[in-house]
Amino acid sequence: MSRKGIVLFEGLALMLVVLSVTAIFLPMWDDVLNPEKKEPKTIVIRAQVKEAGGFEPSVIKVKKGEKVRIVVEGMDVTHGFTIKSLGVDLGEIKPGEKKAFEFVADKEGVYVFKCTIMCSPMHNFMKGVIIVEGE
Amino acid sequence: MSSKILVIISAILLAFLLGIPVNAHVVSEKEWLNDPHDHGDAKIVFVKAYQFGFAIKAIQDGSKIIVYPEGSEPSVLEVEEGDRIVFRVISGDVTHGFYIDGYTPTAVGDNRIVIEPGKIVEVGPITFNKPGKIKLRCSVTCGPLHPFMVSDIIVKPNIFFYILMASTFTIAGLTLLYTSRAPENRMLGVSLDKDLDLLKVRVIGPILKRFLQWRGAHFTLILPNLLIFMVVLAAGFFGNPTGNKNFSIAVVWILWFAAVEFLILFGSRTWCTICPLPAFGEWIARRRIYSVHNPRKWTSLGKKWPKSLNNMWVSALSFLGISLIVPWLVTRPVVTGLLFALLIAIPLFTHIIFDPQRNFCRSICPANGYIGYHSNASIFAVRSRDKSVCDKHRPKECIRGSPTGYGCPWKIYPGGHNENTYCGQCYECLRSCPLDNMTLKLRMIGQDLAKIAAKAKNKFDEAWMGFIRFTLAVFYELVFFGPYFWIKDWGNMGIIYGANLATIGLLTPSLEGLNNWFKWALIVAGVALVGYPAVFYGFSWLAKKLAGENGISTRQLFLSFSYALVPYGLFLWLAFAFSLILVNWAYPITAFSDPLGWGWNIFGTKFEWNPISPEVLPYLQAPLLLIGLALAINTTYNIARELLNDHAKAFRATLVMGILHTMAGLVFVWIVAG
Repeated sequence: MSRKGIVLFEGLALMLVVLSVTAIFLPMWDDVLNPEKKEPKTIVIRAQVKEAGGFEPSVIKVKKGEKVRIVVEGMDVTHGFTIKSLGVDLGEIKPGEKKAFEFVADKEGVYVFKCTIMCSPMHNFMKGVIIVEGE
Repeated sequence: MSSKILVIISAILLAFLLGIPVNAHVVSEKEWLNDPHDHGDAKIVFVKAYQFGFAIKAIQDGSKIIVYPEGSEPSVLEVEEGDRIVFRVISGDVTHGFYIDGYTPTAVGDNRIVIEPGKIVEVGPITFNKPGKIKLRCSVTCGPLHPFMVSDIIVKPNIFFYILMASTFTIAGLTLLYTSRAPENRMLGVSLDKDLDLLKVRVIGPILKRFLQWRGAHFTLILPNLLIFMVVLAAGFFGNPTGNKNFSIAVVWILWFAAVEFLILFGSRTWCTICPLPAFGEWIARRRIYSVHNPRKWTSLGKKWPKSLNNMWVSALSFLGISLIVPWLVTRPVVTGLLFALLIAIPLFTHIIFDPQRNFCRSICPANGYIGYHSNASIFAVRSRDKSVCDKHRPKECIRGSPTGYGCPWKIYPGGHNENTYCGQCYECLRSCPLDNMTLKLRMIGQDLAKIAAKAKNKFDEAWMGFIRFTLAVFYELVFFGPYFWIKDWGNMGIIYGANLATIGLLTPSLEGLNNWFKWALIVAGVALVGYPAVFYGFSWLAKKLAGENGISTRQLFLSFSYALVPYGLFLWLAFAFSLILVNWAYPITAFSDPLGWGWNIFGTKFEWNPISPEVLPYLQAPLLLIGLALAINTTYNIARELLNDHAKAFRATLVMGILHTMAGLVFVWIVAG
């Protein structure tokens, strides 16, 4: 093979290798590949046992008057989701399952959400808050 | 403004700190057992689901109730054919599912039976009208060991088990009868002298040849796998901590683990052709990915590879070592991620420090050992068309390399070899050979085995590879798909959490967990390294006595006869692969669309767990076992014939070893059906 050919083929191969290796950055593509996140004003809460982090994110800030769609996604074992002060109860959320609700944040304040189904020894600590901030 | 922030912060703190029980209603055992219920003539079985098993706490027949105290619950539920059973199920911890092979509806969507903590769920009445052994499985992901949360139900009379035992004896007997007729160089009636030159087959042959002789072939085959391996790393470190939702577990330990056994049977070391692990090291050392580069210009310190490593010991022991942590490895993404990172790093060093050949593959890779070992039972091989042509041809391009191909990176003489063990099927010899003498061959299983076995002097590494693989095939079936929770728990060190890199701390074992793991390790290593080899040695001694052969040592017979485990072990692993893939096929397919377990659906291949007729699994596994047994006995005969050069002696030795192989087969039959 000529020198030029070697450079061409090796370069092409190297490019393909580098391209494949970038797959390691896959987790950074969540915003693009997650079908839920494509919708505007959608917040995805991932539910996993408290020992592994609990609800993620567990502190959510929204602006007063905003309409928000919240998707709760089960990750490891079956969880539940409730916001008593808003009258939201999504029931059981199995791993791989997603349940969503929409709400308009018309009152400023802190809304606590909790897991309702026994999920691990630290189940009782599996909580989070939605903070509705004023202008 | 600041007071408002203060209020918010204290509210958050309060919310997180106060662990006020939320709807955490727990059913007390008393409440559960005394709850009024009337189901006529149906028996009531009280089952408590827990991470990761099912405990039978009580059985009620009419007004009679037997309550099993903690620790003495039966592992297996035995019922009579025609029994009507109502299951009253509770959960001891988190939400579980309830699925009985062939009796409960498909486990998809709302059909799924869910056992939510705090509730008593009634299943049935189910009429058990098909005798045999079936499994009770969890159908809702409940943690890392969820896929292995199974228990056994035996519907008596277990006729299939008796039929299978009888078949085992019959097949063993028939194979012995066959060998008693002194078949020469044949395997179960098929000649071992014949083979098919794949590259001369019409249409396929020339296409295959052109592709394999193309310099980019190897690279093209590796590239997709490289991508997959990177996804494995990403998912292992950052993806969903629960194994069956994570690409690294679902694809590696369900799809690959099962597929590689079939690849061995049909394609020998085809996995090694497409494996990207040593690729980085090889490319860096050669300074070429695609083309051929003069070895004198390679980037490598070129230190001599230690002679003591030129065998299968490290491979065999690292495979065993991995097996010792297998309950973690196949359920915790981070453990798989770390293993893969290590397996990519090591060959990088071996290529740069030592002579830049496939030293890592040959003697360190934990998969190399067993793939190489079993590939001798494959129907596929890379061979020369005519060995005498190679022997007379002095330049030996297949060893030294040529402008069109590298010299064999696996450090063998491709033109002259007649065993698959160390041929990595990179096809460099096909490219470097100027005489067009290298080809691919299809042949009967075990073509070269007798010769390899007879020549095996001091190859204790390969013998022990055989023992490790054989015992582990039986053991895995028992541990992963058996009803004995305690043994899974020992291997798992009692940890209920999954883990990725961020939560790796959850895998810190307790002292009791460690203690139990040592017991588990002792059992696994003891049986694989000492127990079965000792029994095998005993039988080899008996075989020697009965054959009346004095010219050959028991040690040699022991080493040579161990090669009968090449086909036998492979077929047992195929049987195990069936139970992996038929039950859990949905996990790997889903993982391709959602590699991190984050709710993506890239290719639209999201499936719910739904086993394909799991009740027929034993019927699929049994024929594989029986084929393996027949091959093992016939291989033993061929080896004995090669060693002892006498039909009568060889047959008597085969008789003794045949008894051992039949007994081992019966153990497997008992595990899958008994």
